[in-house]
Amino acid sequence: MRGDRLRLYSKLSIAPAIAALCLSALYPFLFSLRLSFTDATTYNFTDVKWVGLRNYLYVARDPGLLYSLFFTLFFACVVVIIELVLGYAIALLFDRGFPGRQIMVTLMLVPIVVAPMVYGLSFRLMLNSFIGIIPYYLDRMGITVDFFGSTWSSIATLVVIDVVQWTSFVFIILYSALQNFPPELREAALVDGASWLEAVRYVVTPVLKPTLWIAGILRFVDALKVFDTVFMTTGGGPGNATSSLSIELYNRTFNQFRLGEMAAFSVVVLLVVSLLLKPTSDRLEASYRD
Amino acid sequence: MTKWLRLLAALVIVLVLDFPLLFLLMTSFKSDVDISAGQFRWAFRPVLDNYRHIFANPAFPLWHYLGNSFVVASGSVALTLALSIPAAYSMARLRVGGAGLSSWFLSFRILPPIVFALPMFLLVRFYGLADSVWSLLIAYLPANIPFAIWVLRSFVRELPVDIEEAAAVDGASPARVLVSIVLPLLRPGIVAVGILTFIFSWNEFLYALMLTLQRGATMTVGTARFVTGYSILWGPISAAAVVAAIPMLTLGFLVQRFLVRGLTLGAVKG
Repeated sequence: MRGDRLRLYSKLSIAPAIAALCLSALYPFLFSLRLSFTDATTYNFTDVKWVGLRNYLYVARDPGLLYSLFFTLFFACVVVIIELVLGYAIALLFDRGFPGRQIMVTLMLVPIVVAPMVYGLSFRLMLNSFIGIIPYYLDRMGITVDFFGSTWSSIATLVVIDVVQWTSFVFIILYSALQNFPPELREAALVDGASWLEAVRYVVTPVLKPTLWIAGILRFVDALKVFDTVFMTTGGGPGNATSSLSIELYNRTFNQFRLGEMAAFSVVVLLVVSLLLKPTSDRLEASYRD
Repeated sequence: MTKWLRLLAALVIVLVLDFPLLFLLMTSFKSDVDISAGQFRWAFRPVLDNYRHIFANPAFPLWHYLGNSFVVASGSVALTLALSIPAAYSMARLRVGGAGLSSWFLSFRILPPIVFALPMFLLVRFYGLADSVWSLLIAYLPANIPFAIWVLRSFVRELPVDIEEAAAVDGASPARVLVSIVLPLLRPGIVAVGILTFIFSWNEFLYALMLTLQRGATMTVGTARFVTGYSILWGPISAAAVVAAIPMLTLGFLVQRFLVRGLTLGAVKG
């Protein structure tokens, strides 16, 4: 009797959350799965013809779509590595202590709570070749850079924007891990004659490794979603050089009206990213279990 | 001596990372002439014109955007908490669903929202919800619910289980234990999750851009729409961005203690 009631309660308590996700994510996904096998366009997505796998063949043959997938992966790898290195270095600096540290930690958190769209907007102004502050100083040093002119300068600019905004994310996770680090362990190493750098290298870093992984994984997951800052600065250009997955899908959906093809691309991206990130959710689940 | 050097280094780092916002703050107090007088310059006479421009300009319905952002963000908080608290409690204590269910939830947080954006865009129009705050309230659920469940689950797990067990032995139903015993103890976690959900929803850009135009537009989209076109009114735009960012800074500082746990979905205690 009691067991039955408990089982009923268990089901009732999780049902609303599951139902909400089915409505807001699973249903749209199934809808786009259906569209992906049809000739739907923006003007007509209800009365459609089945076209089999034609849209998937289109996706497989389209160099732009493939490029955006690789560009996004490349971008995510680059920013994660830079942010991990910088974030960890800054966390170590803060961990050694200095006057006014608490205020500095609070100020470090500013980029995390400010909308990425706002950071993108600000960089667009700061990099403006007529009135921006950065070209102004570069000009005085005799350097002229067209930040959004070439492929590599655009990519580098986007990497810098991401690093400026999200290094704080890695920093705060590692800083709090360092603050909780067992002091005996580090002191033992220092007593044994190790330098601070050696203690960091051989004692602190190995213990922090799981936390470094989590910070890196979470940044990677979010970097794959990059949209706001790209939209506010390069818009995916020049050409499609900085067209991330989100930008590519957005631009094509609103400029080309090819719904069937874009639905197929959405499905492919969902499958690829799911497979790619499967270890991520396992890792996070494992860290909850310990 | 070296501790002062470290302070100096930290100051430089903070200045660089916060500079984009500081720069918009500075620009928002510059007059048009000082912003676009040939080239950048530090010196300027501070004016309030830009704030006057955005708060009293029919072409830029600032209060409308702020109102929408507030409705979407607080509505998301209410929906997310109502749906997530019972689920998180059951998953942490009654072990409902196991690792399979929590991974299933997490997958919606991990996937780029763009993969649902196209069907969402069509369905929202199909059901007559285009350009409304309702479309955003629905669209933000796949990111917010998994986040809330994961973080709240880690908070529940740290509560002492004895009281709950004693109440259960005395015949209290799980629902009653959740409401009378767990909820009061869980308050810090609920506040942290609520505030972070508010910030995420307020700052969200992609869905707001795709699903709304004017009637349901939020502050982020409203500000961004100011940019497109022939001339960019940098002063008013900077002021609008500052107005959008300030409330989030205040809220962020309130949850500073729980920020690490929130950002890592409960995986790192902080």
